[in-house]
Amino acid sequence: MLKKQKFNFSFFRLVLTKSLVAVFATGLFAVNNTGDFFSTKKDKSLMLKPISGMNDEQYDKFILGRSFFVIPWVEAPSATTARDGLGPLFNANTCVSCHAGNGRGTLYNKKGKPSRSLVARLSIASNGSFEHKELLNKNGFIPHPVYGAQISINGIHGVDFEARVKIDFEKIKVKFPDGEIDELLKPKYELINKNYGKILEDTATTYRIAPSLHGLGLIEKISNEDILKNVDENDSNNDGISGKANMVYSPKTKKYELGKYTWKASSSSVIEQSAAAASSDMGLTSMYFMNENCTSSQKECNDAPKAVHKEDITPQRLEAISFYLKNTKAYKPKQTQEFKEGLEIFESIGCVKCHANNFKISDNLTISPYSDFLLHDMGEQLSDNRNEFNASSKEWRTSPLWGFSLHEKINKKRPRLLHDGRARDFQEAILWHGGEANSVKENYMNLPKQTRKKLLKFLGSI
Amino acid sequence: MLNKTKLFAASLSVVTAIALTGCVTTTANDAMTKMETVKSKGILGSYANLALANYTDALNDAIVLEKAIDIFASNPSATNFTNAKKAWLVSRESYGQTEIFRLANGPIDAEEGWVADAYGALEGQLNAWPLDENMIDYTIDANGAKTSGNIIDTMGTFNPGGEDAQAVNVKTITEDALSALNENGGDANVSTGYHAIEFLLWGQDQDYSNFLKDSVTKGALTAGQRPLSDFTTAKNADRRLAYLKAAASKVVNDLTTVKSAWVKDVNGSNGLYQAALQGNLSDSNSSKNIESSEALKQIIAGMGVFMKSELANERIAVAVLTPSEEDEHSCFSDNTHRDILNNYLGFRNVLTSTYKGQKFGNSLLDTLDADSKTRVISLMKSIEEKINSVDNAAKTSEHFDYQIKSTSSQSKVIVKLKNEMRKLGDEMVNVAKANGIDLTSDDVTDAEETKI
Repeated sequence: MLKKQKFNFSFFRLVLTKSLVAVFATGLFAVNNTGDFFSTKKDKSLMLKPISGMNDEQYDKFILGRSFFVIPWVEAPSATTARDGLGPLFNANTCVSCHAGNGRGTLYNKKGKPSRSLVARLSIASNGSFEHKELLNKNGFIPHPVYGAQISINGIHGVDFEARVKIDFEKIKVKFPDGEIDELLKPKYELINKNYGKILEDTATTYRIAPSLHGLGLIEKISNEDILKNVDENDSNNDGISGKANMVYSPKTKKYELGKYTWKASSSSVIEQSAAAASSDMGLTSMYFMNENCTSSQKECNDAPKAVHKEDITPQRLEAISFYLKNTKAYKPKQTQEFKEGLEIFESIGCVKCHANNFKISDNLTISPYSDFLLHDMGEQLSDNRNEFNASSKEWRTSPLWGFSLHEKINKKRPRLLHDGRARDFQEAILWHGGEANSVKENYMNLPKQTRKKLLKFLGSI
Repeated sequence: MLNKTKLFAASLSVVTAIALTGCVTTTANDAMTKMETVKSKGILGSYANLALANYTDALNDAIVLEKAIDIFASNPSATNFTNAKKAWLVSRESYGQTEIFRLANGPIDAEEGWVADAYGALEGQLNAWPLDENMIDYTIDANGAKTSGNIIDTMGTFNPGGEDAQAVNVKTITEDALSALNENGGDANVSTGYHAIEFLLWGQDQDYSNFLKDSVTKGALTAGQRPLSDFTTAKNADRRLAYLKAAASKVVNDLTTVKSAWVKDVNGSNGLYQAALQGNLSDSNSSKNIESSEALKQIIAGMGVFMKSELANERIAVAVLTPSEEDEHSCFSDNTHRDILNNYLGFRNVLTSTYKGQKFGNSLLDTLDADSKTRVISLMKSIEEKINSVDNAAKTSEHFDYQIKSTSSQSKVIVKLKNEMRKLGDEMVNVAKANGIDLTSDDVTDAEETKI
């Protein structure tokens, strides 16, 4: 079976020696922690590798999860019973299609067309009915009555896809105090080839790029207490930064829990978000999402053959997928002089207020995800007219910045940043920051050009 | 050109398959030195010679398979049907051993650079798996009804469905049409190679609605039972035969290309890879030479990845852990026990520089220090006992798809087998070290091997 294998061993020895030095230097060297979870080897398959020190049973679970994450799902009915139930409406037939190398999605695919890892999600305003209130309570938003929560760009045999995304931009110029001019791309995305009729104008359409799966297990290890102590909703310390927790309904505990994952922190655990993505992106049912993703007006979708099992992904396999995602290696940059200088700038102008880099997970392990996992008002320019639980349209979860430097290794191009991939580089992403982050952005713009460059280099290295 | 008929007759008479008798302990020691040694230049030379010998056998066995299928197609009798199936089983023996040459950036599956340009990374055409057999021919759905809308029952253009799928005209089933359909619209859309032929010869061996109930084919020693009438009186019988012929011809053509990389004389892309591997190219080709430490590194890491991530994990662990019949390698013919044995044997061949009892020169195993060598050999002995146990059970009591069920005592053997295979894969780090090459267990754990 199966093909593909690319090895890149060059520089390996060099990196290894240096990494040992780095680990000693940061004082984190401990018998079995940092090294188990992290690697300093900038390798395109790093995020696919298991953390060190697993026993055979754990490793079994890991590869089982990986198998369901990367092997294609097929439409029902198929003799491949363990892997059927794709769709009827879907965006991709494997999880890894949108998270290449377990990293972040791309805006354009290899053919230069809009990538499937940019999804369009739809919601409408509440009409105050009981049904809508229930949806707000459990979903955090109200899906579109005809197209549902997310546009599917593919359908199985006999079921029309819903629509496709067209990407367009308007150019905007930004001038720095020192005269430098940068050009930003303001998204003008739209839905084309709509196969299920018009989408009413009061529908909020938001475009989201698949986030990186870097360090998910480590994020889950951060205690709620450590996250919640940064909450400052009314900015009582007067630093201009609020920080709000998103409390979201958990289909697992049937209670409201602290949201940590997705662009608006709308999911509280890796397993629930895995199930949510499997449902909306691939049309797979599981214990947390038992309904096929067809709306009542999509006849072919409802009539399409369904898998014999009610759950396309059984609980054990869903658990294994989540275990896999939580036990992949994370990247930790070498603590070079350049890195330290960059970090100093990052801290001095205030980025670190939200992109927090210091969470203690255990006696031996402190991690730097560069996120506080809280919601912040990012200003009108980034608003997407959509609320999710406590998150307003202008509020976004601080995006963890760790692991971005692997993107280029995986995709051979720089990552497109922000929720909709509009920013082509870190400077553009910074310039889009508004709302609470406005003063930090201004700090950045006022830095001497050389210092700005150092900061950008730092961001590209973490 | 080989005399197909003669080869065909000879091959079928020796269907009795190899068992793992000649134990690694003897192959590694003095017994081997007495055997005829093929002259070669170092380990890379032995490797290239062994690859040539193994691919030559694989190609010859595929030619026999093609011949058997041609005979069956011209006269679809019960005997010819049986002979075609036998020839398929035989062809898997030699091909299974060649799989160790994968994952080393070599001609079978290199996807980038001149090696890919010269040989086309044909592994996906030859041995792609798992496959969505639904796309090829009818299957039985949950309600016991035959599915339709497949290549066999479509008389015009066929759209495989899935992502960015392109419709292909299958009015006449040809090699080109099948090639165009392979992995068109998604990785599981497999239309060519050994497993497509396997499905057409055996049919499904599974009850769609309940794997454990097994009501499509009954019994632990029963493989897929495609009726002969599918090729004689049933609708589209002629299309099935045409499909078989086209697919078999493609396997032969693809293997011819792969083998050409290993032939001794350089002529165009013929022999180019083996010469580059040994650094023998000169003039305009000299830039293609592969530095010997790089070549060894790729080979050793590839062996580790194949043993650990491919064989132990994908082919055995996922099957036994799921458990899912479709996750065993040859699920239609129930030949998975032979896949495991031959895949392992291929690894042993290269590690010990031995093929079919013939020593090919110095081996990687010989480079290990005495302690490591003893440890590796005892691990291999233990693995071989378990492989033989799976092989025996498959022949006498229950096929691999029954052995993986948790109710079978064999499932425990299989679980231990894959654990030991992982250890053996990790040992390649030490083999690398003995050859002055730095690898870590990360390098022999390929995270991407599950791409189909």
